[in-house]
Amino acid sequence: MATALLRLGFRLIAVTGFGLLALPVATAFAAGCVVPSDAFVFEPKLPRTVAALSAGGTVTIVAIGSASTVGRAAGGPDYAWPKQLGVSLAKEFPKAKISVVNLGKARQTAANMAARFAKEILPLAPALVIWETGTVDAVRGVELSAFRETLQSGLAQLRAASEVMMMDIQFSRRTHIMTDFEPYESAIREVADVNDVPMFPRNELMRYWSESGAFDYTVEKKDEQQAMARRLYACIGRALAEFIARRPHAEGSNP
Amino acid sequence: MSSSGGGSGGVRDLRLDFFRGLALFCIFIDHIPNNVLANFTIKSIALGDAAEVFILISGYAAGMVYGRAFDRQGTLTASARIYHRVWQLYVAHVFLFMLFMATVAQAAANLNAGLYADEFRAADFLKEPDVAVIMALTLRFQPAFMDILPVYIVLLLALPAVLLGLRRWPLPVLGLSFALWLAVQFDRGINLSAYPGQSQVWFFNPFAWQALFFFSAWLGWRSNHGGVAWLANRWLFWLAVAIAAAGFLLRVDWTLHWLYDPFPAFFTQALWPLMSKTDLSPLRFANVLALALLVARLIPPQTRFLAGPIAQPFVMCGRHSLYIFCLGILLSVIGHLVINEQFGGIVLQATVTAAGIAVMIGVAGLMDWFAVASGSPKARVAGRGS
Repeated sequence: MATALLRLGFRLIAVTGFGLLALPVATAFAAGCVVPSDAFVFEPKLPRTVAALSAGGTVTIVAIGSASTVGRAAGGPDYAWPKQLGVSLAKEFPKAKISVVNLGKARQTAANMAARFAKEILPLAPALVIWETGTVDAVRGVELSAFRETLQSGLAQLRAASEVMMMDIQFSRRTHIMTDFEPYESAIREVADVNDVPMFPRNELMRYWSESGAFDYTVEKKDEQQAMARRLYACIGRALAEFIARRPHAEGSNP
Repeated sequence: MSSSGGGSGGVRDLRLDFFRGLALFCIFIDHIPNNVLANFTIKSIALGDAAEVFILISGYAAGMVYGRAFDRQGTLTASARIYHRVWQLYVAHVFLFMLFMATVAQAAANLNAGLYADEFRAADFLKEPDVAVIMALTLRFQPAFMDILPVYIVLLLALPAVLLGLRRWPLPVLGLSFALWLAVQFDRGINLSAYPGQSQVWFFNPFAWQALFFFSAWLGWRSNHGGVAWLANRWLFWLAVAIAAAGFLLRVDWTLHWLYDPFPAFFTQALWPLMSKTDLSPLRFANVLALALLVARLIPPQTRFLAGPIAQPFVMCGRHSLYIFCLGILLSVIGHLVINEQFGGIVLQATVTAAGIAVMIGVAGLMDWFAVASGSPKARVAGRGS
């Protein structure tokens, strides 16, 4: 009970932006983007995907999302996070033949994407689908309960065939003036939570990297922007690989 | 809101001002994204948030004040007073929109560049100002956090007709209002369209929220005439206690679960779909009514506390709710910018929040002073005890 309370207190600090306490025990990456050691602690694991990767066969992962999945800011899908995820996973699981398919399309709402699931994702029989969404819905003001229902039914459809991971909205410093992202962010978190589907905390990580000085997302020159985007997507790809690779522990197993 | 709750004489019901002030502070705090203090507002102790409280009290006050005007000054004058208020709200809305445009136009280049290109489409409306301005003037363009005034405006627009109806046929009018709310629960298509999305609708669905506003307006109007007898029912009180307690326990449970995942969350799967704010879901409706009943029954209108120094800032802000509301919206945008630019932790968030609330209280105090100094009719209210 005491440790539970301690962890609750720790989490309180963590949710306010991964307090500095997390730094000393963090895993360091070469490029300077660090993932706090507790970032993924409570997220459900992906045992079937990990088993398939460890077994060394062919493993297909599908990434579906909007502009930030396409990777236009970095110069296209060759530099986007799905590509980088494939690279990082290959290092982690050298025996597996991994293909990460990028089905990202700019300006798509969750409903637009869900309409493509049956035709474009299910035939690929992926081990894992990563669904990045929320931004376009928030910008267009899609009604919140409609958004939530789309997530719920979309997850049900995907989970019938494969494991699923959600990815939330990008962090930004200034866009909140325009759009209130928080309700959509919470909706993704809650639907993932209710369905016991892992959510990759992209927003929290990007915020953490910005706070710790690893990234400045507001650089203004075009070439600097592209270089920054490439580095960011590489960091997200690596963090994602780490997120997936967490092997099931006896102690922290999920129902 | 029982028989003792009415302000039938000239005595102002301080509870209205106090809780409206409290709601205004909560709205300000909730509107600053990533603010830890938002874990301590109304929304963390009930299935609902400050918006319900704000609409409920606004409806009650409108019913009480304009209901009295209908009784004493006649239909024409009372309606004119309501439309005068509508005009003030409309001007406030347009003013907020101008501030919003200025902020966004400044930030637009940065918003659409780099990582956010193709995603946010921020300021697309700046490319078609001819459309955007008309949409704002017709209340269909409701940028972030500018969504509550439009619904308040259309509800007040309908108030003269509704009050006339309530005075003659209270049950049928309330029944119709409730039926419309119920219809929205089954068909979410019943809403007004908004801009800029193709399928965008009003964030506060007026066809749903009208039920809360007009029911409160009816209670407010009845309070001028001795109140509503059945509100004193003992069983109703215990029902309200049960609803409020259940709402409190559920919300605290969900917050704990969110802070510490292994802590179990109950009924999330079943209840989250029933939590729609846009359509004022039954859970939110029931919870705010239960809280209102408890407050009305447990806190007498002239409690010493409400006239005391601790309650004074709340009462002051609640008294000038329209101006303080607009100010709060503006301050929350500024506060958010400060917090995100400086990346402050809890300390900065608390500082910014405290500073914002201090400004709100300061301006409300200034308005009280001005009312007295300029000898306006509000001075009678502001200069308490004199």
